[in-house]
Amino acid sequence: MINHVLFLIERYDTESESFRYVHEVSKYLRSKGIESHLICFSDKAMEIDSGFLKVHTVPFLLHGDNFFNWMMLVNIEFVRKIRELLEVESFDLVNSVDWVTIPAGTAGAKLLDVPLVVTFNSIEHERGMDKMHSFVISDLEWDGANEANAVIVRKKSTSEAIKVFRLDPEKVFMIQKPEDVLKVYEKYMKVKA
Amino acid sequence: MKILMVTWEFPPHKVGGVASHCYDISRYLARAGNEVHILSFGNENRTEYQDGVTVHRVNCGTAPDIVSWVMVLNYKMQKKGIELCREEGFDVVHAHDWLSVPATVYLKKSFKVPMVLTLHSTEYGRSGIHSPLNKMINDIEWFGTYEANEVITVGKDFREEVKNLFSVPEEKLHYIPNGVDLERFRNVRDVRDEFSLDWEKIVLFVGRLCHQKGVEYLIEAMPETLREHPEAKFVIVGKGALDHYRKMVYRKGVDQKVYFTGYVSEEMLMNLYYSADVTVMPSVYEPSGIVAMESMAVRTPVVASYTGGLKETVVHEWCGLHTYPCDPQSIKWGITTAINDMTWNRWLGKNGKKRVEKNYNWDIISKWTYMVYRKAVGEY
Repeated sequence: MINHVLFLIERYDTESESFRYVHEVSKYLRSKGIESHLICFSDKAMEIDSGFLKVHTVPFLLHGDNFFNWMMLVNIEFVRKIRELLEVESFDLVNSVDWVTIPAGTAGAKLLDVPLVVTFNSIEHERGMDKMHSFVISDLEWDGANEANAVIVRKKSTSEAIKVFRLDPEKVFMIQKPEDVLKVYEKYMKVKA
Repeated sequence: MKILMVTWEFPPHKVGGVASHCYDISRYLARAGNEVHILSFGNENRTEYQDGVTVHRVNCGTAPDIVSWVMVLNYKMQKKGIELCREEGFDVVHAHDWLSVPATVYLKKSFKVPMVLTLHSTEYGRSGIHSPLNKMINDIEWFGTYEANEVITVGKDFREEVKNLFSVPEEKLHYIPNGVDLERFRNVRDVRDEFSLDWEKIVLFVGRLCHQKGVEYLIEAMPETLREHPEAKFVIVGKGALDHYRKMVYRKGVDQKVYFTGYVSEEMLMNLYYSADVTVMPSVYEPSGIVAMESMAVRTPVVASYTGGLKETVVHEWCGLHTYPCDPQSIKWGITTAINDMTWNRWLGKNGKKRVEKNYNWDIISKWTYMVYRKAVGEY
């Protein structure tokens, strides 16, 4: 039985693909009586309740020498926020979105002892593996995908590219509709039970 | 008390002095009845037992730069650490230097367990803050001091540096020096024949071959020292910019009197300390100066820059001599004074050993560290 889902995305940007994914899924979850929380970065600490999604933004004072290193540190703040929310909330599942939240996602799921679902909007193999940090990002994606109980990809190209990780095909889902996301959640809640 | 120490280097993986420090402090804490676990880097993921300490190693691949590698290593250590914290339930987590700060802060925040951070040096002191990479490391050091419940520094001067650099509150800063395990010197032997002729006197340098250790100032001082003391033989132990310093020695025309050993085994290093007539530490920046302590432990006097931890480790004209940092003339004066009169040289050595036995032994240091842990967990 799912009552509370915790989402993690990089930053509070209502136009981003990740935010729109969380927005759509949480709206559907609300209609099924499930409460959703989202932790993400913003330069200000905010608590925003849209009625179907409670957003908790966390600021981080340090500026990294590059995006990869900075994001790895921001994940520590995500974990701090998870720990803080645990004082008043309980979560049944963590849904981490993209490599940028995998460190906090894996830590959060272990801490809460709940299933981890990782959603990829795209993966580094698809993006070209041509950046300085492509290999470490790809390793992180691989690690997160392996740690996850289920992996959700959102388009055909990602579902093709992710084959490089040699995951159990039964735990990879190509999903576009929010109702199918809930089916995945429920499947893994049952496995855990 | 159950302690989880997080360090990026632990023997046999050794790069700087942090590995030896963690090895000694963990053994002595375990001997005192604490349960000590180490979380560190290794060539493979495995758990091993060393002298009463449980060592958990995590493997980590390559990364484009040192900070990114540290981030990936810390991610792996964090994952292993969460598993360990759930199974073991530690009373305190203890990080060493910036390289283990992210994982330790994760554990602190995840399990609300008190965090202690030992700083062995700072990026500001090692390299200065000249690039985004330096700035990032400096920021992580600040972050570590900010998050830690208690901060330990390995030098008295260094304590002030950390306090001012990171605005650390006085009440959470502690000075606990490095130590020397005298048992390691029990079977030392004279290896003079392997490094010098029988009429030569060994002037020993031990450390990373880099600007921070002041190697270039020692090389600058060599020609004049040799004019006064042709019997001096410089033995340079350590890895780093070997080719650069070899060329410098060659240009100075003193290459016949300098022996670069590169890396030597722990046993040979102890033998070299014992065989040397003087150990020279021309460091530009040295928060603690463990080399000075190790040299003094086998009665070899030390000629050391008047900087950082060396100011307190070496007592001028009692167990060694102080020289001005970055000053070849001063280094030359120190070396020649130390080997001019060998009776005085032996007297300095004897005093040095007493000083180490009294002030820098791990029994005392582990007790002080334990008191810091107690303060961190709120029992103090």
